[in-house]
Amino acid sequence: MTQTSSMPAKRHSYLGLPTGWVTPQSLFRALEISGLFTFLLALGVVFALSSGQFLTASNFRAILTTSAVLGIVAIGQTFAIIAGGFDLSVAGVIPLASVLYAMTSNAGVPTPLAILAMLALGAVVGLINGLVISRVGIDPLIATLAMLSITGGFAFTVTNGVSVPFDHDYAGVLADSGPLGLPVHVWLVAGLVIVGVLVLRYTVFGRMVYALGGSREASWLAGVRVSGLTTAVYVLCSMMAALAGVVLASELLSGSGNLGTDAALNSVAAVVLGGGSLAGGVGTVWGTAVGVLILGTLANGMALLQISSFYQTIATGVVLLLAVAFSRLRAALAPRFYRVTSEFISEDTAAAVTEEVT
Amino acid sequence: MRIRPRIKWLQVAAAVFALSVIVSACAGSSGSPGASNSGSPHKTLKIDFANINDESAFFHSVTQGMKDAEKTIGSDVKVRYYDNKSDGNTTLQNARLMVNDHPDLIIEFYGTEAVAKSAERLFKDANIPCITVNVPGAGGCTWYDLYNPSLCGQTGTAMGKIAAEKGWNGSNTAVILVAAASFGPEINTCQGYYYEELQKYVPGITKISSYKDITLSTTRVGSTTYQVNGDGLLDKTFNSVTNVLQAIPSSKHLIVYPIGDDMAIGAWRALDQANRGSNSIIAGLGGDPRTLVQLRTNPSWVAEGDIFISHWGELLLPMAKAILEHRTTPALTTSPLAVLTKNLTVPNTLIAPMSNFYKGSETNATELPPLVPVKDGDLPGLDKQGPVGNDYLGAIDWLRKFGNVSGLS
Amino acid sequence: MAALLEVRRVHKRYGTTQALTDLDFDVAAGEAVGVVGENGAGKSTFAKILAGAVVPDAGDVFLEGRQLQIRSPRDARLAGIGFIPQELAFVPTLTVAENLLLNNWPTRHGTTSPRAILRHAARAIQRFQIDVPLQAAMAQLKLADQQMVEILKAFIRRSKIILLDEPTAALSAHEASQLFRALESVKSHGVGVVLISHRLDEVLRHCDRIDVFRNSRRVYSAPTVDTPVDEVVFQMLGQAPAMLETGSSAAAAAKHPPALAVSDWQRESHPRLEHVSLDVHEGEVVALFGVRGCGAEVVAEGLAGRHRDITGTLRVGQHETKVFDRPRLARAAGVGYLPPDRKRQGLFTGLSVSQNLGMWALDDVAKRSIINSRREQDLAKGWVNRFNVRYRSLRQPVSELSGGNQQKVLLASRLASKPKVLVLQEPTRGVDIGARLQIHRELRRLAESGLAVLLVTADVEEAVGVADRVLVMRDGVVSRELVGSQKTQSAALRVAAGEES
Repeated sequence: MTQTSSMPAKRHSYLGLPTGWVTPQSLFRALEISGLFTFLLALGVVFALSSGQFLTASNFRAILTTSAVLGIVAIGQTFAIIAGGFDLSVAGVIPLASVLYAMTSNAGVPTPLAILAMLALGAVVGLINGLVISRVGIDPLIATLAMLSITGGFAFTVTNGVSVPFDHDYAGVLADSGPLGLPVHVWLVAGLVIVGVLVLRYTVFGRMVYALGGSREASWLAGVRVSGLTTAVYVLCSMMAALAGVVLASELLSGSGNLGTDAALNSVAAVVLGGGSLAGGVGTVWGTAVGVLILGTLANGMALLQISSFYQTIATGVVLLLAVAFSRLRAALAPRFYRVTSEFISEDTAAAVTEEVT
Repeated sequence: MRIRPRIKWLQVAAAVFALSVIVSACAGSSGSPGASNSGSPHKTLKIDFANINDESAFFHSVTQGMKDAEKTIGSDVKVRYYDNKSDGNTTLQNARLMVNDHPDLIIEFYGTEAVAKSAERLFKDANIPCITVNVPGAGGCTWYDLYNPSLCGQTGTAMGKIAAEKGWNGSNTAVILVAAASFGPEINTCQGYYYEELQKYVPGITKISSYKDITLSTTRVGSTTYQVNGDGLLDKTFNSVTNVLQAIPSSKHLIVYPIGDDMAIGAWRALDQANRGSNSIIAGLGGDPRTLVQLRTNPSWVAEGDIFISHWGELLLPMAKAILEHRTTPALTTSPLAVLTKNLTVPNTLIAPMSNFYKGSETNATELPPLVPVKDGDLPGLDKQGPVGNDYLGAIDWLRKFGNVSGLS
Repeated sequence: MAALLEVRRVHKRYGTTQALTDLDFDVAAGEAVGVVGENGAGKSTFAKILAGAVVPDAGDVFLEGRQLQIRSPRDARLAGIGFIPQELAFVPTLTVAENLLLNNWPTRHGTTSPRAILRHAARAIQRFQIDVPLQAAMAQLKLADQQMVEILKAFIRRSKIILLDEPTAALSAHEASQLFRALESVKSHGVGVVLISHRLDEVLRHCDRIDVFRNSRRVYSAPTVDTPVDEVVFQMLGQAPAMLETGSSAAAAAKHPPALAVSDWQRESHPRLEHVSLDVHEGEVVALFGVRGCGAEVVAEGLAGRHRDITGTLRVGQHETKVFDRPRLARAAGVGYLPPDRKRQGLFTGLSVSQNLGMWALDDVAKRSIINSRREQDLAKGWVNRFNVRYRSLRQPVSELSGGNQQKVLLASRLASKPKVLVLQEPTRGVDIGARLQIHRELRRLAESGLAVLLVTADVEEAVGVADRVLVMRDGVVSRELVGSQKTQSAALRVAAGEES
C-alpha cells in the first residue's frame, strides 16, 4: 500500500499505563462508577452524621441483607439491558419461584434439588421470553409484561391464593447466618457480582452481549448468532430472578404470590443508575451493584431518620436524579481522558486534490 | 383514471360500532325477566357482591365464605360475585355492571375508597340499597366493618397486661407499630386505639392524648415508640422492620403490632433474623391460618386480632335481609371480633383464649363470638359517635342455620 | 484470469417486483469491479445476496471454484465474503479495536480480555501504516475513519471478497482518495473488491472493471480503460441524456436587482468566514463551490438560520436584516432551504409522502388549523407528477422511497412553500444518476421561471454543469467567480485547491 503522508505513529497511552489496561471508554465508565460510589459514600456520610446508629456493623449487615434480593435480580437485569432489552417478568418469577420452592420443599424434596428445580423453572421462563423476543420478534416490553402476568398469575392459582409457609426450617438455608454474621445469601450475591463482572469483561460471551446491545445489525452481519444470544441472556435473567425468589422465601420462611412487587422497576433503576442505558450496549455489574447499594442505603437511612413513608418515596426519586446527575457530571468534567484525535486520515488536501485533477 | 368509491372505511366502522352499542344498551335496559322486588318473604333474594381483591388469599376468603353461606341458606338467596382487584377503575366498572343486573341489594367491598362517592351515586340513582364493607364509604350505604376501637384497643389491653406482667416498662421497652399507608386513614386508626389502651398497662411509655395523635405520617412517638410502613406486604415489612431495628438498642424489649397478618409474618421474620424474636411480643390482625399457627406455637406471639373473615358472609347475608325487611340498622354493624390469646381471658371484653373458638389444631373457627348489643361508640375515621353493634341480626332466621354463634339458640 | 468469485443465474423476486433476473457476475483475485446503475436496478439486492442478508430464489455462487450455500450473514462471513453496507455495520458503543475484531476476538476457551483484543488488533493492522486510535469509541470517529475501520475489519477477517455499498457517498474528495488507496493495498493481497457506487467518475478512475446493472440484469461489463463515461450513462439509462443549457438566463437576470444579497459575513469559529459577499439574481443559478471546510456550507446554513455567530447583513427581496439566527426567520423571509442530510434534517421520516409535502404548504392545505386531507393529496399529486417521483402510494411513509425519489420529494416540499430564494446543499448526494439528471433539469427550469437559486455543493461536475456562475470559496473567502468560458471543472478545482488566485 502506498503510504499516507508522513505522520508519526501515535500510541495512545493513558495515565502512563501500558496501552490496553485503560481505554477511554473504560475510564469513562470507571469515572461514572466511582462518581456513583462517591455519591454512595456521601450518602453514607450524611446518614452517619444524622443518625448515631448508622455507622454500626449491625446496620451495615442490615443494609446488605435488605439489598441482597434486589442485587440478585439486578445482576440478571444488567445482562438483559446491556443486550439491548430488559425483563419485566422478574416481578412474576420471584413470587412464582418462592411459592413453588415452598411447595416442593414441603413435599419432601431435598433442598439442593428444590433450588435446582427453581433455577430450571427460571430457565424455562427465560427460554420462552427469549424465543418470543428473538424469533417471533415481539418487543421486550410487551413480551416480558405478558410473562409477568402469566407467572404472577400462576403464583396465585397454584396455591389457590394462599401463601405457603415452610414446613421445614432447613429449606431456608440460604438465609441462614454465615461468615462475619452476614447471611449466606449476602455472600452468594457478592460471589455472583464477581462472576458477573468476570463474564462480561473476560469472556467472548460477554463481548457478544455488548456487541448485540450496541448494534444488533452489525452483530448479525458479523455473524453473531443473534437469536441464540438474546435467548441466552433472557434465560440468565430469569434464572437469577428465580434464585432471588428462593432467597426471599428463605428469608421469610414462606412463599407468597405477593412478593417482589417492585422488583422489575427497582432492578431496572439499579442498572440504569449504575451506568446502563436502555438503548443497550453499555452497563456494568459493578455499577449495578453500587446502584443497588444506593437504593438499600437510602431506605435504611430514611428508616433510621424516621422519615415518613410518603416523603420517602419523594426523597428516593430526588436522590436517584441527583445520583445520576452527579456521576455523569463527574465523568464529563474529565475531557482529557476521552477526547480523541479522531483524524487518522491526514489532511493533505493539496496533494490529494491535485492528484484528482491530473 | 380509476374512480374510487368515496366510502371512508373508518366512518363505516364507527357507525357500526355506535349502532351496536345503542342496540345492546336498549336490550340491557329492557329489564331482565323476573325483576326483583324487595320485601316479599318467599322470593329468592338476589344479591350482588363485589369483593375487594380475590387475588389476595386473605380477602378471597370473604368470597369463599359467602359462597359457603349461600349454600347453607339455600334457595332463599342467590349471590353474584365480582372482583374489584384493588383498583378504582375496576370497582366503578363492576358497580355499573351490578346496577345493570338489578339485584335486590349490592354488597360493596371497595377496591379503593376513592370511588365510593361515584359508586354510591350509581346505586342511589338506581334505587338499590347497599352495604359497604370495611370502610364507611360516602355515607350512602349501610356500614359493616370490624371495629377498630374494640379490636385494636383490646389487643393493646391484652399485650399491655402481658408486658406488664413481664416487668416491661418505658425505660426497657420499645414499641414498634406497623402501618399500611396505602390502606387509608380509617384503617390506620387501629394503631391509635391500640396505643391508647397499651399505655394504660405498660408504665413509662410515651403517652398520647387520643388515638388521633398517631397518623399515617407519624414515625416516632416520644422516645419509646416507632411506626414504620409495611403497605400490607410481607417483604416490604421485612425490610422496614429490619431497618428500624437498627435504631433500637438490642437490649430493649420489643412490643410489635402490625395491623395485618402478611405484615405480621414479615415483621416476625425480621425480628427472628435479627435475633431479637425471643425478646419481643407480637400480635397480628386478621386471624389468618398462618398466624393462628403462630399463636399456638410461637412463645412470642401473644395475641391475634381475629375478625373471622371467612365467616363474614354469614353475617352479611342476614344483614342484607334485615335491610330489605326495613329493620333499623345501626350506623356500624360489627363483624364477629375476638382478641385471641394463648390463655388470657379478660371478662366482658373480646379477649379470650383461642381454644374457645378453634378446636384442636383447626384454623377454621367452629364457634363464633356472641352478638354484640348495639350501643353508642366512636365511628372510626368519621370523627363522630353513633350506634355500633350487631345483635339486631339475631332476629334473622338465616343466622341460626350456621349454628355457630355463641349464645344464639 | 480465473475468477475468484463467480455468480451464475441468480434470480430474486420481491412480490411482483423482479429484483434480479438471470444475473451473472464474476470477480478475479486482486481485481476491483465497480457496479453502477440506477436505483432499483438491483445493485443492493445483489450485494445483500452475497452478504447473506437476503436469500436468492435461484442461482449459484462459487468462491475459488467451490459452490457456496449462503443462507445467513454468518455463512457469508465464514466463506470469506466481507460486506460493508452504506450505513456501515459497526457497534458504536465498543472501541475501535473491539470493532476491528467484531465476533473475531482472540479467545482461549471462551475467555478473552480487553488487553488481548487490543494487542491482537494492533498486530493485525500493522501492515497498513495507518494510525488507528484503537482505544477510541467507534462513535467518536469521523465517518471516513469509521469506514476505514470497516474495511480493515473485513481484511483482518481474511475476507477473500470485500463488497462496499456506496462507500464514498458522504466522503470528501480527499477522504475518498484515501479510501481507494486502502483498497489498492487490499487488492495487492489478492482480495477481490466489488464497489457499488453512484459516482461514475470514481469508478472509472479507481476500478479495473465496470459493470452496469439495469432493470434487474447486468447489461454491460468491460474494463474501465476501454469505457468512456457517456457509454456508461447510456447503458444505465438505456438512452443518451440531454445536456443542460446554462448561462442563457444569466445575462438577462443581471439586469434586475438581486433577489438575495449576502454582505460582509464574518465568522470566527471554524469553518471561518471572511468578508463573504455574494448575490443571486432572479432567474439564475449560482453555485458556491469549495472543498470541505472552505466555508461554503456555512454560508448555506447561515442563510437557513442555523448559525448564531455570523455577523453581517443580508437582503432578501426588499427586506434587509442581520443574518438570521434561527430558521424560523429564514423561512418567514422566504428562503427555501434544502439540507444536505435529507433523512435526518430534511424529511419527516415518520410521515407519508403527502404529509411531508403538506407540511410545507400548510396555508394551502389547512383551514383554521384543520388539515384538509383531500387538498393535501391533490397538492402532493401535483408535485409528484411534476417531479416524476416513483412511489407506491401517497400515503406511503417517505422513508420507503429510494434516495433519489426522496430527494425529489424534499425539493418539492421546499418549492411548495413558495420561496423567493432557493438554497440547496448537496442536492444530489447519494442519488442515482437518473434522479440526479432530473433534479438538475428541474433546477434549470426553476431558474428560467424566475426563481433565484443558490447551489452549494462539493460536487464540481454539478456546480459547473448546472450553474450560470460558479463562486469558488477557499478558507472562508470567495476566491473567484467563474463565468462563461472560464467556467470549467478543472479551473474550479484549481482555484479551490489554491493553485490559482
